[in-house]
Amino acid sequence: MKSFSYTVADPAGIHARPAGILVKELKSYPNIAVTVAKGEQSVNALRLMALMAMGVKQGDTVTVTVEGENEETVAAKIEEFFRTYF
Amino acid sequence: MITFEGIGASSGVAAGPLCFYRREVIEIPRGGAADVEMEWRRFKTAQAEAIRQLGELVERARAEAGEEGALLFRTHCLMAEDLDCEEAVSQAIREDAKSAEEAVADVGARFTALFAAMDDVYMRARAADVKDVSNRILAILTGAARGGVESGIPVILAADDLSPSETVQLDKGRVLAFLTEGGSAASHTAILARMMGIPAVVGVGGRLRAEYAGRETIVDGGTGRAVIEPDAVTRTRLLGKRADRRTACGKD
Repeated sequence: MKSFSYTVADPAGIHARPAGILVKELKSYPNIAVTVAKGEQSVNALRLMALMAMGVKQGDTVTVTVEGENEETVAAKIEEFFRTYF
Repeated sequence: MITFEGIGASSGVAAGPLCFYRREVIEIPRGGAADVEMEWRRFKTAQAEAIRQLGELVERARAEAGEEGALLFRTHCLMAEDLDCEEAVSQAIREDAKSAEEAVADVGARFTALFAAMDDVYMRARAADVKDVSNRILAILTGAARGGVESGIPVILAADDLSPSETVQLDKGRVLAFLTEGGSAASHTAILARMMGIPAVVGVGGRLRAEYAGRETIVDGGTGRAVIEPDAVTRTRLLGKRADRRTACGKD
């Protein structure tokens, strides 16, 4: 299990279009489970509606947990994705 | 002269006759499911068709509004296949014996309400996207026709509100500008209008009356103002802005 914390910099928070790209990207790693947690709430990152409904805003810190095949490499890629899009 | 103050969602000045968007109202049959598994298959077939249509819209939006526009419909695609929504529809059909239409309408309304109640203006605007996707599946299930512009000449298109799908599916050659009662600058419809370079004023409130149809209208997307039957001074001033803009563009 590999996890990282990220503080959202985008003024629109975790919003629809990049969240959509994230879901698409995650689908290319079938043996990986990714969860995004904010406070006590935690969702499977593949579930777009649930991820958006969490309402992550600019300045919020989320914890992303990656578990499965090549989790080190995948976690690094996802962290890079968060830095680029959120 | 009637003046409207709204939100300038996409800049530019356009003048033309006002025309209302024609939309077929989707009737939801409220009879429940006679055959639960058949209703579930009907939903899965309609869902697959919605995803196929959205795939086409991704390409259309890319051509007309660029990569960001394409991305928007790819997001709609993901919403259409979202597992939480699918599970909620499955439950409504299999446990509550609802028809496919009832299940999609109810689940769509529930998720729309969830976003509409959020404290963030951007997230609230996503309610329109969820509604757009559920209406697409409902239109496929009920065989409702798509809306459109009933005019042979270019018009200022008026509506209570326009969904992203309705916006991108319009014949752009016939739309000079958008004027809507609802909507915000954060709506995907506003984003699409900007990317397509069509002036838009949104959020003027419930003041667009059917009797205004056909009347000369000027929309100024830069200031968020629109006027129906402008007086000579206003017309000259607003159309002058359009000329200035052209000259400015010409110098680039």
